[in-house]
Amino acid sequence: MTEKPLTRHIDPSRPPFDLAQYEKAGGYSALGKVIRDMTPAACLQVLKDSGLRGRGGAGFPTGMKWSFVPMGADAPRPKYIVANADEMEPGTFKDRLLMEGCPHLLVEGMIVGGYILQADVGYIFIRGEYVEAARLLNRAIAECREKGFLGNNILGGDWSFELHVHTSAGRYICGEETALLNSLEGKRATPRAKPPFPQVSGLWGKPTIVNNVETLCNLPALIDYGAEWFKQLSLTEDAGTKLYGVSGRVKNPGCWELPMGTPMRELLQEYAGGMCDGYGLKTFLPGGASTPLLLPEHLDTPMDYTHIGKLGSRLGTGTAIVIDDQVDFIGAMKNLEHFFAQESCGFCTPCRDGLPWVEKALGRLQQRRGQRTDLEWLQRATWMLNMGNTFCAHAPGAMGPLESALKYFPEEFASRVVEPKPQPGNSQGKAAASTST
Amino acid sequence: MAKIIVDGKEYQVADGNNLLHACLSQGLNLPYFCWHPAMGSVGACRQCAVKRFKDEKDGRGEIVMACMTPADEGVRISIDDPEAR
Repeated sequence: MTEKPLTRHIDPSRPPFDLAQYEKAGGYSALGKVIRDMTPAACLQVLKDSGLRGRGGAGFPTGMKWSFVPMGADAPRPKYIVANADEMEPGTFKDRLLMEGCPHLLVEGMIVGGYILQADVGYIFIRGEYVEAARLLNRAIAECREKGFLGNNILGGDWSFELHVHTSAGRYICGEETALLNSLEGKRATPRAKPPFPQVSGLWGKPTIVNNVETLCNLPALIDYGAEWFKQLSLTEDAGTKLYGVSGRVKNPGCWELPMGTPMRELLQEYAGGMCDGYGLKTFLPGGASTPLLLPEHLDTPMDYTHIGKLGSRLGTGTAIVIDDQVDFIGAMKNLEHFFAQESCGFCTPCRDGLPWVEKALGRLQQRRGQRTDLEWLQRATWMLNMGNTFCAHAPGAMGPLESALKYFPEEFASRVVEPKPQPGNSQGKAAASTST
Repeated sequence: MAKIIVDGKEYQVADGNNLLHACLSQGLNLPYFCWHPAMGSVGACRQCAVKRFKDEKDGRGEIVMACMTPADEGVRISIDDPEAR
């Protein structure tokens, strides 16, 4: 038994395990167990009982999501399982650690997941910049193919499975599962309308499961040690461990596997070494750029989906970005919105046009050229670009931090507004003259 | 035929259409840009937003795109709602 199902085989001081070393350390035992001793339905029940929630950000219960996939002899074929390794959330580097530290763990997770779903083909959709991870994964897959862990009649059973690595051309929106599927099909990466959900009609119209790398990496240990063990790893009711990260002006930025529900104060003080000398904590994004801000008073809240959700934010990817008290706060917000404006896929109007407007308004405020109308626009944008008004969750994600910033730090915005000077005499003529220059 | 309720008034509309198509065919003015009957719905321009209510007691409703929502029997929407406009 282990306390760290995700990182137990990871040691940055040596190269990652090859197949023989990984097997010696207990790897691929879960694969043997599911194929020899367990039915897909029994495995799915373990998954449901474990309470594992998707680690990509939304925290949807994995067992429930997988139960929507049609099973049995009449199910449409081929079925697909896709690992979402397009890790592009600003400040997030947890999947990279997993793939570069122990590529075989993800490969085993994919094969086990493929067996549970009785999938035929798996894809690891990896961010193009993760060259090293893609190389390691390809090597791991080749080793498995040679060993017979991939291919026809795996371990002598009647189930066959093939696994491929697909390197993305690099768009943030490819992390959205339906945009990812479009991209994998060779189309423009725009999200699809839901329903139908990918579980029923996904890749090339066939049942498809898309899950985050960290979610899939939980599967081998979960199968080996069971649902009860998985639940007791956590400090709260959200089960398992979590890869937490901290970046920003802290002494020791990094990524650590800790029990789910570890409070931010512990992460910041004990693991990240506290704030750099001379800097104080102003606010933090708990799980990447698209999660609403939290304040120092929230430091003791357990970092899990339920508790962070109650504060009006989201756990997201669990990799926090710390914003210190000396940073240009409006500049930081502008930087954030610049990212979202650039990464909008351009499909729907509010996101494509609204986000650049937001960025421009923040830019004017940052340069102290902003007017009250800019502030009013920002307020309006937090409603106009919110859930339901846009096609996917990209723009609402961008509005999360902005909305919370306007709520928690209204003075930061107000202090940047320049009131138009009262103009004596013919003000209209002057205004006309100034616009013509 | 299906009965839909728009701003409290009932309309009989053809089966199998989306709400935008149904509203336009009743002479209701709903702005749209990216939809065309020959091209189908994509939901990109977000102009045909309407507010849909679960039932007569639902006062909050939710914004949906008329072109992406089927005009099913009993659908209750508002196109005059300030948020939908």
